[in-house]
Amino acid sequence: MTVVLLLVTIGALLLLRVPVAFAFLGPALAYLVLTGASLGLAMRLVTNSTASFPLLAVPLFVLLGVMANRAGIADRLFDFALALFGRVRGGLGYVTVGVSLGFSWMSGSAVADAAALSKVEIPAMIRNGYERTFGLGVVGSSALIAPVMPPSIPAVIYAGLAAVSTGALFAASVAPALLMALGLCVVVFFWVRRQPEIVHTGFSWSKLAETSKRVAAPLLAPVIILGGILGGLFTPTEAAAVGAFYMLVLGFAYRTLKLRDLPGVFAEAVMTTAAIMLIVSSASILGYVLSRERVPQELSELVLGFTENATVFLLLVALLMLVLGTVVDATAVLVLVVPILMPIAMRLEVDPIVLGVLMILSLMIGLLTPPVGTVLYVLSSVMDVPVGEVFKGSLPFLVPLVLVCLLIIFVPEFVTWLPNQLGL
Amino acid sequence: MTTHESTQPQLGHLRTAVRVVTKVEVLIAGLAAAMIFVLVLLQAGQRYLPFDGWTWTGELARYGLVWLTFTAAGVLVTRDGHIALELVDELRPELLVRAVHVFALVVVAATGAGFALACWSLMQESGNLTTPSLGLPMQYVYALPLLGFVSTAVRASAAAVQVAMHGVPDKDDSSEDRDDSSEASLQASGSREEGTAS
Repeated sequence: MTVVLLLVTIGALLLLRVPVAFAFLGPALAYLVLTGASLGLAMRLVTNSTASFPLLAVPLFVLLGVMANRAGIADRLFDFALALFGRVRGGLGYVTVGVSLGFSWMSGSAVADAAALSKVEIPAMIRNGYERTFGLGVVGSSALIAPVMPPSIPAVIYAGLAAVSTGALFAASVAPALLMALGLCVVVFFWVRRQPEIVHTGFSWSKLAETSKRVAAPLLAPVIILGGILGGLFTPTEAAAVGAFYMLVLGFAYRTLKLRDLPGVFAEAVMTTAAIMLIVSSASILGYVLSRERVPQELSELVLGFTENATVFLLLVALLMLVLGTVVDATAVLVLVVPILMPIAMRLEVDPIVLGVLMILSLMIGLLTPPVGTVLYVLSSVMDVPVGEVFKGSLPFLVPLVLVCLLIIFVPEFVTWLPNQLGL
Repeated sequence: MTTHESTQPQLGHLRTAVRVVTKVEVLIAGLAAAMIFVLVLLQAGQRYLPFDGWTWTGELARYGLVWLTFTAAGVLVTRDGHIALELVDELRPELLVRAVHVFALVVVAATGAGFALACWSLMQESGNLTTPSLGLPMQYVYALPLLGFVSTAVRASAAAVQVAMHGVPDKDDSSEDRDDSSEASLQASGSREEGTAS
């Protein structure tokens, strides 16, 4: 009864616009006070969960993304992709997917990706005869690759919550992210066939050579980050710092970043990090309350009474994440749900890596669906168009993303293959 | 002189004070981020150097994340930068939206005050405890989170009064004390994205 009251209170507070972190922290603190626990325990739980070495990757990957944005890497990638796909009909659609894929190796945030790329890509598409709705859809859906492809901030958070290897989760995410990109390209292909009026953007070898030179150094960043992690040179946290340092050097070399910009860069990274980490910090206190009330065990019995089939369980998880992802921030959902789902997954012998990749991808789809799809709102705000138009444009692109989710559920081996090969 | 006019200079002083406190909080959080960056780089580098590693780098970096997180918590209240469901913002009448905002801010203020108390209690319980590698008194470790939660409680209370009296400010108005450099990038993508992991 107590826990039902607690969860109802959290839900009500969330609906009443209380920030997620405080909607978790407030009722959990009240629970501890009412059950006679020491106040100090609440603070100890909160700080201990924050002072975690793997979670240090969060501010560092945020910093990497901010620096990549400020260093103008997205523009360089766009020019290169445009030169590469210039001859292809509907090339700008593929360019958008390609740039998002390239940028996703440096940024773990769909929202930052959508905000940074939409201002360049959508006007370029409109100029070349593409429908604005299509542009909004392809930019929004491509942005979802960023939080799935490593370095992914939700993956770092999931790894911390589920106590799994961040490196293994990163490796496992590569194939689904590439498949997402491929699926989006298939939608672009079919859309382009029905649009005879769109024009080619042209192709020249000299332009391709020139733009290749400009992206050579930025494209080394993923090699350093992922190569470092998967090759055992760095931990994910260290790789994040090395990647951010490399991006800083590139920014200085390209003169897009100056010493006087650094306070602003750090200030931006700090605000993003603090908002995420406050939610993560509430995980331990909420987890403590839930386990004290035996919620994971009781929910586990309930679910296992309904099904003992791992595939059905994964289908239910994907459905739950799709629904929750439409209304609640991904970090909040992970914090709330991972401690509850992990014992069930263990009992059903579901690989926690597969569960993590599935949860992250399903949650990210929610970023592109009403009522609270953050990417929808960002695109609507940046391009000054109605949210409904962004959603309409995104609808066809949601199909391949859902198909990738189903593939993870029915063929989980394609997720675990790479980490197994790498011995992670 | 009207009452409104007589309160103008006082409000001006208050705004300046808030701006200064905000700059100090952002500076501390920014320094913590820079410290994490340098220390983790050092840790990555020292593995390949021919001398024994410094065990304290990891410890200090971890506490840096605690300081960063809780020091910036108050500033996020003023900037409306905390991640929240903004479904009610579209509702009518405006008075209902205002009431919901005030309620949310009161909850934040109460939670901030509760955790400030919890932090104080933990500092008392910590006694002479020190961190394992650096030997830093744990009371020092908890000092910045204490300040962060006090700042959260004070800022949320002030914001609740302001919203109750003058209504919900526009998104752009809530960022009056942002530093110029971060403002440009945030404006580009809307304040909703200020703190999202996705």
